Amino acid sequence: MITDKYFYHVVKGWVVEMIVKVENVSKTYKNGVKALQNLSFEVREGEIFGLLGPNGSGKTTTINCILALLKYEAGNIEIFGEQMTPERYDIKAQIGYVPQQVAVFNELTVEENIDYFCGLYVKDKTKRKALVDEAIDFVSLNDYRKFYPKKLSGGLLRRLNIACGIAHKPRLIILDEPTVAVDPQSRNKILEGIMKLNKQGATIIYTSHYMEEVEQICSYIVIMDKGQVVSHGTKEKLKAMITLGETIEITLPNRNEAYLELFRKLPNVLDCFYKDRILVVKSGKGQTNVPNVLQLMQEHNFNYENIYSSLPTLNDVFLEITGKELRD
Amino acid sequence: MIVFKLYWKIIKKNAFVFVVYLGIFLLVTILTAQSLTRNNTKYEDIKVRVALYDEDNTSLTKNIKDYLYDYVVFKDIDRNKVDDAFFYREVEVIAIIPPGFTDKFLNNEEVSINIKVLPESTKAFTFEQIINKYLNLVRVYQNNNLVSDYHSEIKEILKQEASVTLPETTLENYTIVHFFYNYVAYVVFALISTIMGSIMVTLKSTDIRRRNNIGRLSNRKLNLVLLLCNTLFGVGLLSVLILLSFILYKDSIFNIKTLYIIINCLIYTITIISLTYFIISLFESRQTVGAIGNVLSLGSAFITGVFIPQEFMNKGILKLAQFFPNFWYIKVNYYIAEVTKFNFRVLQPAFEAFLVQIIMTVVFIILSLVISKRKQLAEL
Repeated sequence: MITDKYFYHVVKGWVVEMIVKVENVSKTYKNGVKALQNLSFEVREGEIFGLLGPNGSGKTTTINCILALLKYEAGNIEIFGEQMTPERYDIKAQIGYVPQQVAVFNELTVEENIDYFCGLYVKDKTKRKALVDEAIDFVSLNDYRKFYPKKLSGGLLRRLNIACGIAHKPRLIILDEPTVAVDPQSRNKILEGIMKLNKQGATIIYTSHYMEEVEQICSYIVIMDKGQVVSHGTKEKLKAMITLGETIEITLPNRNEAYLELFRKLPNVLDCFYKDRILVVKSGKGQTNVPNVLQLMQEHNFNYENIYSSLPTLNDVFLEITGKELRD
Repeated sequence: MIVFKLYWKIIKKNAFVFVVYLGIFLLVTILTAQSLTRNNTKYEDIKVRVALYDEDNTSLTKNIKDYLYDYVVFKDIDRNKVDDAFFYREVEVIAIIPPGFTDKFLNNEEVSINIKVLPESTKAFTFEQIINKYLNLVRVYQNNNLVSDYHSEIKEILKQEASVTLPETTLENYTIVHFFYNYVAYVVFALISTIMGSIMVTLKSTDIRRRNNIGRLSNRKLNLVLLLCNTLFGVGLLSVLILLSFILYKDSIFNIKTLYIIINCLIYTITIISLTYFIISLFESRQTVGAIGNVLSLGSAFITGVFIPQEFMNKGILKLAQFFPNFWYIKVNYYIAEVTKFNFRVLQPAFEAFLVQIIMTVVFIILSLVISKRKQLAEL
């Protein structure tokens, strides 16, 4: 059970409402696959909560359990402090869901699609019209109002998918890998939009296997693997948990195995290896090792094409905890 | 209300398919109706064009030729050019009476005239029949020594024809109405499986369904609205078709037969709706459902008697056809078109066919529910 989050919010000076509480949830599919094992976490109001994990780690299963689309054999899920069941339409009315697959009607235009999904929550036609206009404006689909989904590019379709999920202005928005197969420009637009929604007051649950995205927008992150929470916290806290402090990558004209031993002798170096022609030097926490690396190369007259230093990423965190990469 | 509106919006988007099917249907029924009225109101004698070569040249063969003058048109064509004449359809039958024909005939031996006809032509049969009638009578007269001038007497006898009385015109016109409603079986099946199938597949696709489930819409409510919409669509489609029949055949449609045929239509439409539900419960892809709907509607139309009358069909095929609702629908249509009295005893076969369709509806609904439930549980 994650408990330190509560203190995190108290330290900030105010106690916020708990939006989602997942408690010891286990789910086994009929084919015997254990999708979730004693999964627990909490999502607080105003957060952009990131569920990060490789494909098949149980992110979508978690979302489906939260939304009462899937049954689970053990545990408990509460939303807005109440038990979530398939019949709790009052709770559902306050949730917006953006599924991993684009789920829209090909026979309806952009505007009609958003109106339909908004209509599942809002009956008043005038109010709905204003909400649809706002959603179209929000995802910048004004020029495509009368377009049918088949005429939209992948990025525009994803934006339509999001608009359908958020038009009714929900309190909690769940986005399941909304940027899969999207071009960088559309991806940035989507991420900016999510942050804007959050600023407008919505709590966001965001699942992805793209660590850069999660790092960019999420205020709290749960890293999942094999249906379990492997680590959690803010990105800073997660990175602080590991021994890695810095990764230096040197692109060389030729690969020379003898260099490895020289670099390994440098202070605070944890590991040193080749990735094609790139020599990777991983150092522990503390001062940067870049000056030492440069000095060594100067002393031995090493030729190099470029040198690049980076701080640990969430992939490094995942790698150190599980022994495998996020995209494995 | 939002799902109800969505349903009709999607129907509106499929209006083109609807219009195309109805257009083809109208065209076929109008053309068929015209051909039925043109051909079936009178009988006409058709004389076959024959090139006859008599290689026996006896009084018997001359009598045969004389007799044939009343039934065929002789074409005098040079023997060397007869094949060309045959190719260009100047003659339809080439007949050669071989040498020794008369001797064999008089000795009561088996005789034959060499006949060449166009492939698959019925003319050979007609021509042989005409000759056989004559020769059979000649044999009777000769064997019994009845009269010496038998030729003139036989000619007289064979000239007597049976009188043909055509049935009343109202019944004749009803054949058109009957054809119209037979063809309705195909249109109803094709349109319901295509349009309803496409809407249902879309709404039942996992992602859309989940999105709906997360909304305020319960599964039960969604299914009820869809059931209402599908029934309205089916009844609406049927109403359009019935209205069309009333406009096209206003002179012959207002009678008790039509009432029974409309009841049959209604039961059949409900059965097709349940069959479409069953297909949708089995398959999730719109293309698959569309393809199966097309194959079943067209395929079953061929084997159940929509396009070809059931009495001309192979018994084995008809046994297979019994598994399709169209078979029972068409059976009732034929039966209603034939009967002249309407009471429970006379209509019993029709009521039995109604019952079979109703049982099929119940079976399809139960199977759809079981399959859907199983799929739903497997998903959870």
